[in-house]
Amino acid sequence: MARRPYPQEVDRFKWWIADPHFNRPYYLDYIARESTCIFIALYTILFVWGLGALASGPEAFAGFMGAMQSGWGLALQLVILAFALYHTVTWFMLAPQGMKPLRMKNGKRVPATRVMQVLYGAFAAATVVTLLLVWVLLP
Amino acid sequence: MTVQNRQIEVLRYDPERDETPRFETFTVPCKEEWVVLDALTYIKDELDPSLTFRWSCHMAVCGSCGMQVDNKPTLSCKAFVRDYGEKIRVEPLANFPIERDLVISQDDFMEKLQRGRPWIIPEQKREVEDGPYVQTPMQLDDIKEHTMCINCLLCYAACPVYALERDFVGPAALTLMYRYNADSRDAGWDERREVFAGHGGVWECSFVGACSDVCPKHVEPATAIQKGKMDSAVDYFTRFLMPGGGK
Amino acid sequence: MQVVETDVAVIGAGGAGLRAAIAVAETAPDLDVAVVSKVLPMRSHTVAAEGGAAGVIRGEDSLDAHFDDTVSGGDWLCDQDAVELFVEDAPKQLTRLEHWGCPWSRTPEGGVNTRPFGGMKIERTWFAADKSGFHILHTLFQTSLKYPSIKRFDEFFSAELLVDEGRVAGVVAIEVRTGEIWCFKAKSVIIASGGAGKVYPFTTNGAIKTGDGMAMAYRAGVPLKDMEFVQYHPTGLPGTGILLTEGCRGEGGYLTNKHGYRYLQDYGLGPPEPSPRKKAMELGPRDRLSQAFWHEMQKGNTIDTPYGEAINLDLRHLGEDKINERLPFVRDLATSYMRADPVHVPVPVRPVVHYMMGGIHTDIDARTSIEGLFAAGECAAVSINGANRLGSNSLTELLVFGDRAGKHAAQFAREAAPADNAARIDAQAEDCARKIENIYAREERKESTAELRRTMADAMEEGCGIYRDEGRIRSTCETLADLRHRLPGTALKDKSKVFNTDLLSILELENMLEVAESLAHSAYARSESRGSHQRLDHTGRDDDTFLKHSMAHYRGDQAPEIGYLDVVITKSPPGERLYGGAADAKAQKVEAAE
Repeated sequence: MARRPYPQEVDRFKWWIADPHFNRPYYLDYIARESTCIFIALYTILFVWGLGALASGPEAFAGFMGAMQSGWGLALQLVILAFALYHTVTWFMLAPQGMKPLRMKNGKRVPATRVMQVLYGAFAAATVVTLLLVWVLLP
Repeated sequence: MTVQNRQIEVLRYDPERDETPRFETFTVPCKEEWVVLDALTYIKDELDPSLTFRWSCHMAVCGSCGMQVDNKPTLSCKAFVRDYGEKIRVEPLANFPIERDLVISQDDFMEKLQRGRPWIIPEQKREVEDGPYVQTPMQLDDIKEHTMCINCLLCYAACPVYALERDFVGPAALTLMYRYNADSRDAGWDERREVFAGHGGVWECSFVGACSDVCPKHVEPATAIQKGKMDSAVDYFTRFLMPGGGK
Repeated sequence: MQVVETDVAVIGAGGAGLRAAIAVAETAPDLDVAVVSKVLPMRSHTVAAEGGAAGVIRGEDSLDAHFDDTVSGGDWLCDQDAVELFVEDAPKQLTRLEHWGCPWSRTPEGGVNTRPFGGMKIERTWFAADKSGFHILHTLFQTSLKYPSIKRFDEFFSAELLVDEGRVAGVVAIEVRTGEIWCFKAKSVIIASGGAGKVYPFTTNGAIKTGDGMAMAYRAGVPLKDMEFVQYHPTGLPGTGILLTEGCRGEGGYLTNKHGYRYLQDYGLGPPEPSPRKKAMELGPRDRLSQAFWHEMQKGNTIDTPYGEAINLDLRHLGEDKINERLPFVRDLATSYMRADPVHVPVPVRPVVHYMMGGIHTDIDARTSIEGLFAAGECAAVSINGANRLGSNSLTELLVFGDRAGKHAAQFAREAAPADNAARIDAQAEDCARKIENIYAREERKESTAELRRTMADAMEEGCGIYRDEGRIRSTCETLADLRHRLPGTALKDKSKVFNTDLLSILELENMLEVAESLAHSAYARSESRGSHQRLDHTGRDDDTFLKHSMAHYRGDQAPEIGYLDVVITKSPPGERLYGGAADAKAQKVEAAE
């Protein structure tokens, strides 16, 4: 009798539900991280719509702003903001693991926590600058 | 030394007798300091000599004894029974064909490993009389963790991309390719490019990160592959945008 | 039966086997090489070596110094022509390995760094943190992949050599995953199958180290040389026998007894100094350190642990940074398997069987007494290790003699006249296949393989341990004879052809029993104490009678016949082995006299 290797296949659609017992649920985390990019896309669509409205004249833009400021519009933006933040944070967490090590003057590697601190710092600074701009530019 | 009975539930598959794999449970009096591998050798010596598994060094460096222990890819010689419950489930590594019981077929990996040309391809041939290369501690540190791979294949068992896309060269083999590409003594990027960055190469990886989580030697395959993507992108742009292919 | 025709067959894919295969592929790219190994190459036990590989590279070092350390470390039982050749080739081989990508640890300037090792006068041990064997093996394996002439047969268990009229013709092997018998017909064969630590119950060796190659050559008529010399590594973890490298002491670790006292100063190795001094205290040779443990145990100075008596390996004063940089694997092993983090607490350790100085008798070109048959690595005895191997000489030995075996096997394969013996060789291969079928056919399982193995291992520890005497060795010889007699009482519970490890364990046990018997009888016959062979009933070294290699000859079911062969002495007449302060005093006296 000969060997008869038994293939181990996974379900093409459900593999991420049957998560092995890793230290954290990697497969679920991955699906969550990747799927939340849909909300980034959604916001981009809103943004393009707004730009289009702006180009079409004050009336169109007022309509766009009205929609955005409605209860539904605000809710949608809050949901998008929440998922966009989640998406951002997950990538910040991955960043140190996905890059070549930065080195300090003495040749030692910059620790992962410092890389994350810089990312969050830059994120905070960008937010502050944006808010300032809005503060200055808004009538 | 305390001894405690544990139920070891092992996946059995004898291609000459079993149509499909089945579970069999053994009661094993485990000593407190035992690892799962000790429980398996106990079964083989005392209960059922036909139980089949690979092992050798018992110190987490030969890479023979990778298995799914309670559904996580693990070196069974480093899985202490005290860290598990009263019942421990042991299965062959996921994603590989089962030869028999806990023994998987490693042919696919061995083929991919060789395809990656994992050896120094020097700029020019160096003779013994020339002495060792100069390599600074920092240059060594650039590749250090990626040289630690023991080829235990836990990362393949953890990788959903490998599970779904069998052409994927996979974490360990790609990491080894990166390790040579990034070695200050090597100039073999061009020879490895097609396997490394072509179909089945680093760009198949979607950065789930589980490979680095299960790696018993902290080889960080996920990092090596992402760094490889960066090198590949730089290589692409220098070749197509720079005059003379960036040479 | 599958038949493979090849030029050179290599049995074993560890350090020596792979180095040999590469040597053939480099010097004779037109010759086919078949590497037949019972495990995948990266599982070979070279992988577990930690500390490093010796080779003269520093300006203040010299080949003579390496020679002297090796010969005196081996208690003058080394063949000095072999040692001369070895120390000369060592740095070249290590440099080759560097060119092949081995990630040796570096000096700040980018040179290769070296560390001190036991019994070595100067830092000459090249290391890759504390995973030197792992890096050497993987470098060799990965490099071997680039040669198209090297064909690997992974997980093929070599069962028997094919020999006709004093000349080798190949090897018969079992393909483990199919159970099929393969006949490798080769012009030359290199055995590089490693040692046989598994004949003992408590060893740093992996499960695969069952002396298969030694036993095969022995059965084929090649004598096993100096088998009584078994190295106990002084620092293994109690219970598991996991190795903690000599590099721990090279980096400055202390050995202390239960009173926290550095007891080695009581055994001619002192005086103690806070930082490591070469060839003294903790950096004495392994045989002396393991023997000192035994004496401490007799005195009641050892520590009682749940896994037996132990002493402490104290690394705390090295500090966390140094431990993490130089000994990360040791930290991991001690913390995981002993629950003792060396940064914070001393780690209990004890001597554990580590290495066989003895093995298949070869000359300095790795030739055996069978034409076309070569051997290298731990399975062979050239002998550069004599009665006690110095730490970090064995990894280098794999390279130096693996390379030589490969070159000479290639030359033999190229030059040897074709033999007209096909029919007789086929008949031998059939015999071997039948022997395996007969094991399958045994119905009644009167003996348990595991039980016989345990009895053998316990008898070896009892009779052939660190200290031996006539009575206990004799009783071990009797036990072994009885076990060989009982071996045919084993039978397979597993009758499957696919990956039958039940079958392999019977074949491995047969090999181990034969190797163990050669070892015990050689130990019985050597009524002196030398290096690692210490007899309580013959405490002195007896150069008049025993400055000779023991040669164990196979005699079928009977006990082996032990003969002797003169040691080759070129420039270092036997002297006194001195370490620590005593060595300094002697050196000063010599200087004064000059």
